[in-house]
Amino acid sequence: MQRIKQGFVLLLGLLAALFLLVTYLGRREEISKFEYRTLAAHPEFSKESLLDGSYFRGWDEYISDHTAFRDGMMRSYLWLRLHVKKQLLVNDIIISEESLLPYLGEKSFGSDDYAALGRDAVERLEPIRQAVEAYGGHLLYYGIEGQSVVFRDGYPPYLHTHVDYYENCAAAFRAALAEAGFSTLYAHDVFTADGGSPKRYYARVDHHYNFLGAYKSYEAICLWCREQGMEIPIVEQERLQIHPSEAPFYGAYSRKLYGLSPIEEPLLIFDASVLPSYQRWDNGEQTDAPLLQLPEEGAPIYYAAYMGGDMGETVIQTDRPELPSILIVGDSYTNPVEALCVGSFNEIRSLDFRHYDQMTLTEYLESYPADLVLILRDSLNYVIPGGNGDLK
Amino acid sequence: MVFSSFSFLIVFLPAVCLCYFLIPQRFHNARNLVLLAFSLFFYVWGEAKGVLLMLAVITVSYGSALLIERAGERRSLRRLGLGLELLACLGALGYFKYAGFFVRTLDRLFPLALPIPEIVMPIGISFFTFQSMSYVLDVYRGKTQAQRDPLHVALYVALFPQLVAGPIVRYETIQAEITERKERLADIYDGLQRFIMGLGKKVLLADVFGHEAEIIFAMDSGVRNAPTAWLGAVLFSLQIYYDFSGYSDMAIGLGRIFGFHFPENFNYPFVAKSATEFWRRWHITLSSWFRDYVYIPLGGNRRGLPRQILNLFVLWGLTGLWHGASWNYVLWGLYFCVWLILEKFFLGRRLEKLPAWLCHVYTLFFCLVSMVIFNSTELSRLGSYLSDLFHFRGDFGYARFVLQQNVPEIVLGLAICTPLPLRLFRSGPDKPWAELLRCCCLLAVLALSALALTGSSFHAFIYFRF
Repeated sequence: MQRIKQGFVLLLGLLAALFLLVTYLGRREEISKFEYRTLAAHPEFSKESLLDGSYFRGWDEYISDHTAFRDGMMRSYLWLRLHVKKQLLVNDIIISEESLLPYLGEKSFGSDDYAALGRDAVERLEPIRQAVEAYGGHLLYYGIEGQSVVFRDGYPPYLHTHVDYYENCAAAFRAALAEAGFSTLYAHDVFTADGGSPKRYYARVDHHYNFLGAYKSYEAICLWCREQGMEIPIVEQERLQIHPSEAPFYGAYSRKLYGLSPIEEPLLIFDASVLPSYQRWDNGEQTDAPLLQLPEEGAPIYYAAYMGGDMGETVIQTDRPELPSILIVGDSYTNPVEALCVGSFNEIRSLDFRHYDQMTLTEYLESYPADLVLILRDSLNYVIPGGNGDLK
Repeated sequence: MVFSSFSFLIVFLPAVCLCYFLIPQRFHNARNLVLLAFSLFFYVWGEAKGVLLMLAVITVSYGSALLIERAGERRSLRRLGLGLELLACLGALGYFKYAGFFVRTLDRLFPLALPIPEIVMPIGISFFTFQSMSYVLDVYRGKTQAQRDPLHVALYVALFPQLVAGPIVRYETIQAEITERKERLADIYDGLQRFIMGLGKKVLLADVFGHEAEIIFAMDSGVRNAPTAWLGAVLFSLQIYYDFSGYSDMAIGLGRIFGFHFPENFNYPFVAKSATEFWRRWHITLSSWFRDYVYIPLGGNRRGLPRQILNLFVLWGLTGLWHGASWNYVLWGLYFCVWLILEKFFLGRRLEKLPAWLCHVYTLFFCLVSMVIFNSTELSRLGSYLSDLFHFRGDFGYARFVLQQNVPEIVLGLAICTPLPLRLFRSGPDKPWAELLRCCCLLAVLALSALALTGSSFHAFIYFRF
């Protein structure tokens, strides 16, 4: 018995030593590809950080983020949750039969005065319309239903989907846009024009549309431009050779499952060489970054492959002065559309006001009066102020 | 620093054990110094500024106790010593824990537009002040002698296993062990076992229950139906029990590793058959502290019924307030006060005649309601939650989801509330294979706790409001 006790104490001591050693000597990852975040950095000592507690809090975070075998342990824990406990909700992701979905929480969202929310959101857009009309340009609002809206039937019936909130907000916003006379296009109408399901055009493991959805949106926007009298070429779908990527796709939802997602799908990519040559500037810096950034061999691919992810400002010039210019405003949904617009416009600019803070949109339009201003947003964010919801 | 963190488990604990056990057992003072140094570092890790306050409290306690003892029969000097100690401890508590609360309350009662002080409460202040006071009060009462060595007093107050969340250890309990103790393999083994069990309770049960309870308590009243509300109350009760008793287990286990024997703090409170029994089983060191240092000095039940009732109200009001500077805690204390008075004077005999299972149901029902009060810092939300408990509508709703998600934890959580599983674990033949089996079970708990701890460090970058 004494030996067992000694062995138990010794074993725990050795385990602690092993963890400590591997943590100390192991390779330092700076980024977690699954959490899509920078891991905690070594805390900097200062008198202030010691006294306000941030120094040792920093150590807590650092040790927690860089503990030995962290990814393996995280994956093992998820495996237990998925396969032993058979949980439906893991790391804030609902696992339905068809798709992965975001957990939306049980607490009701904000105000239920939907008409006011819709009206306020449109009022925030009004200065943009006035600015565009003042110089004779075109403004188009392109609305896209969120992935969780399209796959809503995958939620278990006893979870709060906030369907009333989202439906009422979207309806109120659309009504307010129509009443104010904005030019609009809605992805739902585009995706269901042939009578098929809109689900074809959405990712199942990510919160965006897939590249087919982006292409359909681009095509609809170009056709609308032609109706307005703009003579622009449209890149045909066949020429783009849309095909699945070989690299495993880590969608915003599936990567949270550490590669254990029961639902897998590839990222749809395209042949970017069919698009014209261009010069590109990201956040004011000239770059030779491609429109489609493929990962190194063996590495996973993310939605950020399109255009290299979110940028505050991107400027692309194709040196075709006979074609109009376009300014695209919105968040990550715009990325694949920006790439496609290279085939149809002379100059393409995109602004993401979550990251861009040098000018307001009205100020930007004074210096750059684009022929077409395209606001491209998803339905979950129609009425939310801040970032791209607060354009002036 | 909390015990259930990698900083503690793979850095602090191995370091303190290594430094401590590398010193030969005969150099007791050196071992004590190591423990004290690590205890202070443990506190600084979580609360750098607060360590000065703790050291000040230790200094005053040391001086007061000596003053009381050296005063001999001079009552005024003895009272001065005690007064100094109470002033320091209650003053620190009053300022750091309750000043903001009292000013806010005053401001609400009389619209004086008083500036609300923003005071950061040092971690563990309720525990180290109570321990210090008990030491000096015991010296004052002649129950124990004043400690001449200031480092021993410092070690008693600051000993890291019980520093931030108890149990509240009386000086007399570990007085002898501070100066002379033997760290035996059997104690280290038992201590590690106890620590792992506590860690499992905290990480595998309390944190899971806490996550779900938080969601249910935050729900809007219209969304939360009666089954969900009751489940929320059950989960919160389990959370607070496993959190607190898990922490106490870890503290007791750590103490045991270093040769200290701390008192038990919980004894299966949810198997109680009355409120009186519940409080004999729940946070035992706190209730005995209040009994010995507040209720009995106030006269207890020796000065007639009205005075006894008044004493009970004072006792339970203070017990409630000790748990937090908010009116819901006071209300929670008074709720128990009324319940205990009713039991003492009206229900006691009737309860004895009821079948045991009915007594359990009765006690659990009122305990669950008490936990709703405990967890509702906004009194308006308390009202809506209490009404939801009795508002039967719709189906099981979110409760069904919570049950689906957490079957193993809920089954285990309910089972471990009773003494049966631990009895089973400890029973069995006194054979090596049985001991080996127990070790394997504990290693499995440790491994699962490590996985869950890692899982809790998952923080996906939120860049999108879903």
